[in-house]
Amino acid sequence: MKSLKSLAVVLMLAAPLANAEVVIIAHPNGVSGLTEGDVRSIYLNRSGKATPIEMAQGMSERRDFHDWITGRSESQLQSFWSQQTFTGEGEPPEEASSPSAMKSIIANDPDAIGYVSPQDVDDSVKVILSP
Amino acid sequence: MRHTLSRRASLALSVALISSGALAQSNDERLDALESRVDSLQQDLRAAGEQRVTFNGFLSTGYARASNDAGFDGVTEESEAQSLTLFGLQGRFDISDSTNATVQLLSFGEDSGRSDFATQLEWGYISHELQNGLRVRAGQMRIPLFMYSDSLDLGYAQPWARSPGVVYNQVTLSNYTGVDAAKRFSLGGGSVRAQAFGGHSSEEQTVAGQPGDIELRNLVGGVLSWSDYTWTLRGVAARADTSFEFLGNDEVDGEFYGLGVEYDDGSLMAISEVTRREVGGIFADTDSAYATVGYRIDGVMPYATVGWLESQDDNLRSGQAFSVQPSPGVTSSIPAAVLNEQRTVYSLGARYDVMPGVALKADWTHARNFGDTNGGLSGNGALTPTFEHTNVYTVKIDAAF
Repeated sequence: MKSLKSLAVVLMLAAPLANAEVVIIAHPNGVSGLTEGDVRSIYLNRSGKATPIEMAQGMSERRDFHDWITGRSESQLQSFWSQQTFTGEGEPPEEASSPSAMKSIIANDPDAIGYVSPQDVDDSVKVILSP
Repeated sequence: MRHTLSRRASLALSVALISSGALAQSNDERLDALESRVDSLQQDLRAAGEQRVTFNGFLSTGYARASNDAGFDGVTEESEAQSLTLFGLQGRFDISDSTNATVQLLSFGEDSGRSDFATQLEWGYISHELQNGLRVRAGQMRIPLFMYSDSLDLGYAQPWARSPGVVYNQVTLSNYTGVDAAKRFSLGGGSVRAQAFGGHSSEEQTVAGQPGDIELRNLVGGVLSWSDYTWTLRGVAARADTSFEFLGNDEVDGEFYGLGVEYDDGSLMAISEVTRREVGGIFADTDSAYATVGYRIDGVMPYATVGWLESQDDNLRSGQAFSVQPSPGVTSSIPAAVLNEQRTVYSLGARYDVMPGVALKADWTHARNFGDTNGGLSGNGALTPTFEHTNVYTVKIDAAF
């Protein structure tokens, strides 16, 4: 009985996590027509089509984004970017501290792309890719 | 003066915002106005954050001990921490949007040819990216012979506690002074990177117990790699006019070929490289290879590696000898067979990502199958090898910041 109860609690906690997702956003007059592969290239320093903006470490959007697009864990990303930095290949993307900071950066830079939860999307940005 | 004016203007603006908000009695309007101010402040901060100089660092330290004094990777029964300790500091100076100067200083605890914690310039180059995406660099850089050449000292970027020496120590010179050019383009759902390099390299090394300069002149090479993020394929070819001081500085042709493959789906990781070193004259041609398989379970990745190296032209050296000068005026003859080399290496280890930027590693490495050679191990007598195998135990912390 007790285990059933805790199972129910786990399911309740897990449900919103399973539904959590992000959408890729850009400036209203900015980049568009990107595929998941394009976005992955842009975020893993293999393409200069757009300037990627990340959410800060520990934000749930960041985890959702990488689960969807790159499949890399936080420590794999850290390892990847340290390798890029110390071999002169590139620097990690600029980070936004909140969804509104993310939108503000995107809304002011036609070259930038970022990601937010669908409920955070407003007129200042456009959605260019959804899962 | 301008500062004072703009400060006054913004003060006036905020007063106006607040009073207009109060007059309109509309919380929505006030919120909108405040939000737009926060946005513009955010932009100001962003502009201020675009630094022209960036510093990054990395650090490794650890403890290693071997079951005997064969000297695998220089490790003996006398346990020590210093040889695994190194610090790196990199400064990147952005001269323009497409041009930067990068300097990396390294301080080694102890290594062949390097004194205790002496700091040396490891990388130092100016880099410029052309409009067409071609990146050209000039200065001192890594010879990109291996998949992890560029991050040879950056333990944090490697899966292993010890990089597979059968391949990675095959060419002991790691840096060159010269130029390189690299370009990326898309191909077949992945991206291709093509790189060409050329220059000169020279370093004092100890070969078969004989210290002396090894020099690579007219070094040229190319690297072609393709990656779709899960798979990476890499090919490299390079050549140089090579000379060894202890062999009388005769210039011979040196060639290097390598093939590499890496698979990483986020959980399962596999890497393998196959390399060939061909050197004219009496110096050994060697073939080598390794394969590593690892599997990530949360933050821990256990791995296993098998590596192999064998000199290919041993018959060329049988019955031959070369003379060396251990001290001025003294000449002695050494059988050329001391340049033969053979070993098989097995490693079991694990990498634990303690937190982003810090990894803890442990490794057990066993080397054997030296044939008639000393296995290429520094402590195993070149003329009369005494050890038939060795075990090396390593624990290590790698950090990048």
